[in-house]
Amino acid sequence: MRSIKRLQHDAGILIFNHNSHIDYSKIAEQCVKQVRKHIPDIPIMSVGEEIQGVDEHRPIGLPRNNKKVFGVISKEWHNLSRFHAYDISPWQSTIVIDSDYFLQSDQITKLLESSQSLLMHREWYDINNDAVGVLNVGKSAISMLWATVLKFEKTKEVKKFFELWRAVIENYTYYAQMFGFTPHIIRNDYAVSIALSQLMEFDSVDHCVIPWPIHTTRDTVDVTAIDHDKIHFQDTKGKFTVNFDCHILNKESLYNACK
Amino acid sequence: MSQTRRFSIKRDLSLLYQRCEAQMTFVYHGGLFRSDAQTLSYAQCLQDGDTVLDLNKTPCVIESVQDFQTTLKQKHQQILNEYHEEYKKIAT
Repeated sequence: MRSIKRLQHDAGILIFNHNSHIDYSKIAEQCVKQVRKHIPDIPIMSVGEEIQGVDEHRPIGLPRNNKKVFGVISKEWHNLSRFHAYDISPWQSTIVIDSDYFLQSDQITKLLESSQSLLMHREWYDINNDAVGVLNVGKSAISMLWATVLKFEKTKEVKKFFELWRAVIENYTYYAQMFGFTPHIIRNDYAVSIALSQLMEFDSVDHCVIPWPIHTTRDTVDVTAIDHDKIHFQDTKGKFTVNFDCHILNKESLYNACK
Repeated sequence: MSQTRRFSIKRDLSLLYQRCEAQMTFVYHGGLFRSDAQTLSYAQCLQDGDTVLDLNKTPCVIESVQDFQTTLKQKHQQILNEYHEEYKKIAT
């Protein structure tokens, strides 16, 4: 079954999973269920700790330590292995998604159908404030690209991009000083944005941009329940549901809502 | 109508609009396009074999304009019909 899927598509979804103070496997398992529901024919591979329900798995050790602020407390967070995606992926076309990116549609299959070899989100839609915007990398003029959803194909240029991504992570303090952001929390979003800018010799990266915003709920929005076709949220203004692909920043409530 | 209810309707309509906006993007022969009114109108001026720029400014040859127009129109109408149906449910 697994190999047939791969032959049919030569495309798949890659999800990195490393537990920290939160059992990310539980969140990732729900993420896999959502992918299965909305794009059943695409194979899924987990990397790191195995996620139940995937077609293939690649164990890798814990990456270099990183930290992230959850609420008001800084905690350990293992997010620094994603630049290995190029070497790990068995497919010609791959979409790497964060386990907190929940599909509610087959929208991301458009990325696989596109002939662009590298695609990421640049615009983000803040669900809480009903606003679309673009963030910058620190104090620089480089627009931030989101590493949450990353489509790539195996080409020489893309391989170079992943090498640059790795180099930015390994020399993060240098880039933090250069572009004016904190070196204490390593953000893949910054690393991919700098890497792509370098690859394009700081020229336009418009051709690598997914032409719709990444829909995101902030830390202040709680997830109360997850169905296959909608996610239930609550914030200070009341309850609401979302039935499109959604990036959820409040991990604790997301964990609690996962069955 | 209470303020809370009014806010809730406004938020649901915004979320619906965002969903439809994202769905408007479609892929045609590897290029990414938007099935909006502007593209529909632009498609009327094309001839077979013309080159157009997709949303990522990548050139794409439209071999059959009729096929492109049909796909575009279908997507456009499908999304707007859905928007209309959902809009009615929220607003009433």
